[in-house]
Amino acid sequence: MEDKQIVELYWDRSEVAIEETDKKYGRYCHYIAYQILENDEDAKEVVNDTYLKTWQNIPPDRPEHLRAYVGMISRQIALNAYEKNHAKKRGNFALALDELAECLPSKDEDLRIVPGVAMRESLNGFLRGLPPKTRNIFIRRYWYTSSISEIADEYSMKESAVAMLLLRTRNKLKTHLQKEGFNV
Amino acid sequence: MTEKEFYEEFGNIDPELIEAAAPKARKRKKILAVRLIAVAACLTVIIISAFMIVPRLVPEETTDIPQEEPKNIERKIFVYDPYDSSGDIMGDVDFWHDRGFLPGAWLYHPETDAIEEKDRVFEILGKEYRMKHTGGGSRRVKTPSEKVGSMMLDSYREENTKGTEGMHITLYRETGQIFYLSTGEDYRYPIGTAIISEEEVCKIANEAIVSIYGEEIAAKYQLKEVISGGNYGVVFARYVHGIPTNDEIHFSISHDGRLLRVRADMFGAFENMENEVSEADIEESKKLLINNVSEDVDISYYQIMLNEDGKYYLCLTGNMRTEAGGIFYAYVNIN
Repeated sequence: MEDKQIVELYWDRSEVAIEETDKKYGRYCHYIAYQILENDEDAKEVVNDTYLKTWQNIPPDRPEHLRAYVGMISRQIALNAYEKNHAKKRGNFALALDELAECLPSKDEDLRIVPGVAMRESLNGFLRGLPPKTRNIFIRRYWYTSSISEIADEYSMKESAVAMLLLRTRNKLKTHLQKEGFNV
Repeated sequence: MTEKEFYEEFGNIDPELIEAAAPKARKRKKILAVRLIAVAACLTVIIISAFMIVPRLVPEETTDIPQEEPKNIERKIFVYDPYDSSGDIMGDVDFWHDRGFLPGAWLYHPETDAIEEKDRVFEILGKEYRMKHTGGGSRRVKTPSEKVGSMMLDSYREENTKGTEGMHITLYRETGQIFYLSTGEDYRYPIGTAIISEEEVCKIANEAIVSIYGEEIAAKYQLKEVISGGNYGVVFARYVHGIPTNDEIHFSISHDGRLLRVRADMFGAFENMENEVSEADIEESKKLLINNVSEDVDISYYQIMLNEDGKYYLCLTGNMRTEAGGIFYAYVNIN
């Protein structure tokens, strides 16, 4: 079923919308949640919560890209669950978090990071300026929280090459954020 | 900003970028040992079958599905890959979205010269509703392939109600049957913990379909599934030659057993279907999907659908057995 039809089902308040979302994107949402939580049961719970949240948000939302929409919800719910359940950081997600944190200006500098729309636009601009493969790998690592070995396997690269690509891109992102004025 | 906040902020990038980077299905790495085990398993099954040790799993009696040889039809297969997970495992297959193809459309219901209905009384589950005719006419439908069609509907609402409250009913003008019904209650999902069993829900749904459509029509539909989780969704489907079609009637029933909503999108679409569909047709379609996608596909479900081109298609759902997963929908013409 096409995304537009599924969204219409949500607007019509038909429970079949959830069934169709599950058929089409259940595994996708599970993948995203599992990458963060690394636990099948927790990931399943996130997927169920995703459907509930989607039901509550549509309407009034009318997403154009339903996959990305439910994916974002799953990611956020998984992040919140991670925060709640993990006092001590460990695992692939924690590693990804630490890596991405390198892009933030150091605490020694007198900085103010402005969240919200400005940051989002800046990140989008940065990503669109990257070569497609680099961009996709970067998003796989820090949006989907895929492991480096999985990325290397999919792109037929050595793990060390993926790690190096990510490092260089993180450095570029840091420079980009500074140039964009995300500091004072 | 903390690292978590930054990570969250990164989550808000443009959806197209997220889509483009989505994980793809990985090729199954065939290991020699796995192949040898698979071959050994096949030989074992063949030997055991030869000695008739394993009882027959297929009943002697045939089902509704006629046992025929495949017809000499030029089969076309269209595949929909919702996860974009095909990578390079797909062969030379037509993707449905490239062709603007999507089975199941409202174009089946034509316009008609029937006279508009006036105010009337509806009886639903033993209760009478005095309804005012609020409008009628053509409902325009635009399909994914940009084809525009229409169907004639008549709408009614319960007397002395306003807004969304009260009973609302929409009829197909062509047949006078219900296309849509809503009791006006808030049926946001979920609204409460279910206090009736699925068995009780099915009983209510069965009473409702008879009450709304009459025994003769109700007898043509079979209860297909129950979706539970607060409120209930009960789906009846029209079966043709033992195969479910997408002529489905959906009932929403509250957690405590009240009818909330009815919807019948493709009502009667298969009433005059003359095509025969045999078990051989189904097996041939399954093989087409497996041959064109991957041997790692499990066919989990199939149904007959009517496309906007007026032709019938067998829609098969295939799940990938590999770790990366993935779902494929294949549409195979049966006429």
